Amino acid sequence: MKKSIALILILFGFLLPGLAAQEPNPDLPEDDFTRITYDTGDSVFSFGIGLLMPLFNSDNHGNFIPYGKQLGYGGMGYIEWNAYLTSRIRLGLQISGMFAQTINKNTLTMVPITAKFSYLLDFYPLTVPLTLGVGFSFNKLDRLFEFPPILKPGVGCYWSLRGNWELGGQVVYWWIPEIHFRDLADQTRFGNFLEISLGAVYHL
Amino acid sequence: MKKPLFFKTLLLAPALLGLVTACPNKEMGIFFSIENERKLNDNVLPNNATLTGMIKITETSPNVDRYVASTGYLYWVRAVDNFDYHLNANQGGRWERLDPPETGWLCSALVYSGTTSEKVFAVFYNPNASVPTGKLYYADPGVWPLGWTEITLSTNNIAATAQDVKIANDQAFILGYTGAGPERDYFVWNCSASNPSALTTAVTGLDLGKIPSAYFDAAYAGSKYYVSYGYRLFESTSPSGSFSTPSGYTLNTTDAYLITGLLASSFYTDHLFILQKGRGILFYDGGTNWDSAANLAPAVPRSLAEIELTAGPNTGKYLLLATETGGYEYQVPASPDGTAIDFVLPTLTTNGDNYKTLELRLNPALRFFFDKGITTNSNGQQDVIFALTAGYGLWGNRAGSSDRQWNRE
Repeated sequence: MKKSIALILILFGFLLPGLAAQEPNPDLPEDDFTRITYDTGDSVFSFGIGLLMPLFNSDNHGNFIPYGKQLGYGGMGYIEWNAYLTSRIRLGLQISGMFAQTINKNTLTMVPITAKFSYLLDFYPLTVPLTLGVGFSFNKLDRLFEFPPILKPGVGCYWSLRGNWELGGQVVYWWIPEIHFRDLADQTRFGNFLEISLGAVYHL
Repeated sequence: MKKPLFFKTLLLAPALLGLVTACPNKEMGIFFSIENERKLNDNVLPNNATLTGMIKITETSPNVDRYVASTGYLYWVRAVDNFDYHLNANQGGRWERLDPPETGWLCSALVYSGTTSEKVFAVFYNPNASVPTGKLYYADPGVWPLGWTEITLSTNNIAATAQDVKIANDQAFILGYTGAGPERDYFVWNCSASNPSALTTAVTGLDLGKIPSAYFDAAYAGSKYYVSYGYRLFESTSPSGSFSTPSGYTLNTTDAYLITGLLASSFYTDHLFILQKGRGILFYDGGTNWDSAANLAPAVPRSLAEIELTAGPNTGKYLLLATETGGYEYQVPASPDGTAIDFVLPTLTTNGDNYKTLELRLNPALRFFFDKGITTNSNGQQDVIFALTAGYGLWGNRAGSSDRQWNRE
């Protein structure tokens, strides 16, 4: 857990200087900052890193089994591209990845690829995106491999900086149904995780 | 407003693809595996070791039981109830190294003759030699540490190199060869554990030819000795000669029908289990009945063991089967009739056992070693099942008060 947090802070530390070094937009007067608005046809590139908290498994009998010590906190990151359909709606593609270790130090890795829908609440200079990701995930543990669907509802909060950048974070719920049939039907589990991440948005 | 087709596809395609392909894994679910994983104890043996043999021997004075395992290097630990990894080898804790007969030599086979004649046999070789150096040794298990004595092999006055050794009914069967490279000629020698001495004549009737194989085994069932090598199977009433292919055995001379192991059954009197690629498990009564345990349907059986748990939460007779695709456990019927095996669903692991969640499940045992334990105590009989793997170390499963758990040795 401490290692994961340290790693994330270090990685994020690499990002901050780059963001802080952004030059003010020369087209705008220094003391006469004008808000930029975005609409259909504009697009953004985003990336971030954070923690993935394992919450619990649920099965198809209605049982909820907390991961507890079975799975440690994981590190995660993502990159995504989104296009504005309207001034309040973005649609795009996100690739994220996570890793976490089981109680015996086996490493779980998941790489979800999701289509992402965002509805933007505007509280300028804050933007609060309500998001929903739908896709599938490449899950691997030791020699086991799964390819389940994934659903990622979430909410974020980003501060508009001068220039084209926004900086903030998001909380995203990962719901991953691993559905099995026949002999393995009893092994059907619905994985539940919570992502807490810091990220940056760049308006292209 | 009608949405562009691109965005519809972007939304739906991954979801549909995910639903269709959610379950490519036939072994077990990942979240299920995480949920059931148990914290492992990890003794000091290398976790990537390949086990080439394991025995339990008793020093006569003082009376001390020890396990000896071979990973190439020999290791030992005292066999005790209430095993504790924090103790040293003499207290039944951490494994310690045992010297080979010659410095730097490795052990490729290790067997124990049992209770009648009581000898340990082993094959050692020099890993740094440019020519094959396999030598057969024996030792008295009642003296600790083991003192090794070489047994030379030859046939037709030509010195031979030892490759493997097996035990059946206190008879040692030694696989070896003369010559080098592709021109090797393979033979089997036999000696009684009660009188090990230089072996100058190979067993007659065991026509092994020039084809090398890692699959060699021997067993004694129904007053007959059985020897398997590659895809060949032989039987004889004498351990020293007159071997021939059993009547009714369908010999198929391709590697698709390699015999991976033999097991003389203690549950089914006079019966022999034959583990074979392509045929699964054959169940032979020594006469005319060759029953195929087809309902097991393992693609390639690797090892089979009979264990009887007399205390703890899962008493009963069990067959442990390891295949190349995973392990199985089968409970033997209470009253086996010996003519056909009616395997029932496994029960040993349903009581919280962690077998399904471990590497052991995916990297099955080359063979099992079962020990009924030393004494009984408040936790019941402290029996232990060892699983000897290729490249994934030695695993031990010790009886507990409520369940069983596999740990790394």
